[in-house]
Amino acid sequence: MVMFSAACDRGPTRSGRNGRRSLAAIVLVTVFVVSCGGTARQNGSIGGSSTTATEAANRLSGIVRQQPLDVFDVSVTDARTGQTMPVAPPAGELRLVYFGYTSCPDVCPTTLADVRRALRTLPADESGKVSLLFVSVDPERDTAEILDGYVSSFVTPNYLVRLEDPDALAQLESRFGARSELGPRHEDGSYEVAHTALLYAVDPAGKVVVEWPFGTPSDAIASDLKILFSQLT
Amino acid sequence: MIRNKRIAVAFVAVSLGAATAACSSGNKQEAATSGTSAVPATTAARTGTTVATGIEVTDAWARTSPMNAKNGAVYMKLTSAGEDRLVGASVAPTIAAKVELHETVMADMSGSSTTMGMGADTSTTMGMMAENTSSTMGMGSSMNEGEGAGGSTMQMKPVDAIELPAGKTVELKPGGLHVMLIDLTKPLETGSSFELTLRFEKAGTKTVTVTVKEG
Repeated sequence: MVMFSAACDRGPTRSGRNGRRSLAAIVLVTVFVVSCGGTARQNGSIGGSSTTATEAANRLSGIVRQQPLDVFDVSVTDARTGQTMPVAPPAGELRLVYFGYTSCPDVCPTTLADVRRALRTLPADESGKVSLLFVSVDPERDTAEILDGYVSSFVTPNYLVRLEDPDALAQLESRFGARSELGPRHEDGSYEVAHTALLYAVDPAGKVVVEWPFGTPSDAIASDLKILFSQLT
Repeated sequence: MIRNKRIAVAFVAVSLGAATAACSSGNKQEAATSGTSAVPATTAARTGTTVATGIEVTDAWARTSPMNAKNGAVYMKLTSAGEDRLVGASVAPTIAAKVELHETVMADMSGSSTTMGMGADTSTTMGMMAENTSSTMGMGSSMNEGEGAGGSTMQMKPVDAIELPAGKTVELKPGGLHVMLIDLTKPLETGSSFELTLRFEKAGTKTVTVTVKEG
């Protein structure tokens, strides 16, 4: 289902663990861009030069890792069509990725509503180039049909991923530094799912170029998307 | 280690809002009352004879339920003149099968709470971060310890009661406290409204109208 090419599979990355964060850390950004710039992909990568990347990172509201997670080699199966597809979007487009579940009444719909609002504020030529990849962290209850109705209520076009194998789900999550865990069953059989509540943007080169924490205002997401589009080369 | 050093997370004016309010698990009181302001005495006085137990509920709303959604959430602002607790809520069976009080909390699954130890080479940045943290981040600064925010997950849990300190506005909002509607009988449609009965430990019950909007 999730396919990793041998050459690129680094397994569950722990690059984020104990990672440092800073607030507009210009000094740090500059240093790291110089030291890591050589790893940038050639085609479609955001930030063609270290200067551009630095400027972009400084202007984005979301979280920017200096060594962006790379999911270029990751493919998934769309639960709606059964088609295998890369996580990375086609050239010139951006793809949002979110791990959530449809029984979630608070965090997931809030984030998806924020995305909907953000996309509405973008000009059509940009919003039309943004798609959403929704990965269910609750495949037991989230059938393809339920996912379709739920996600499509917020954002289209969308792609739906439903991995019944918990290991495959964990592996996909790990590529984004995400995780999820099923909570205890209640008397009525229902349960909640704890999950990473970040929204990711992936560029055509497969770089996770920004991560938005839950609660990021929709106008900040919209503004970041505009910046990301301006950086697509 | 090298890899760790590469990770600099640039936070530029992200409003963490509700997420940060909920991120300190075990600190429910703070989450529940964050972003609140004391209600001026004059406001309480205007409620006349019900001052002691008067409950004010404003901005009660629920998000339009997505197609196929089983559950929904209701948010509102609650102010009780006297100390009280919201202990339950109910809706007509035509709305949902069950109603529970819930809270979304941030749980750190990685177990690491402190990752600030930086090498000497980054002392300049460190100072900068500290300065900015205090000035712009507030409590949000604790949110992304560990691997960005990826090490933390958000999780809902039922709560027995929502504390209402006297005269403080407690906000039920996305990413924090909410009234959860379980097994929606039918979709919540934009522009519609329904009645929600709130049960307070001291003040008794109060029925409010919940407006459904896109949110």
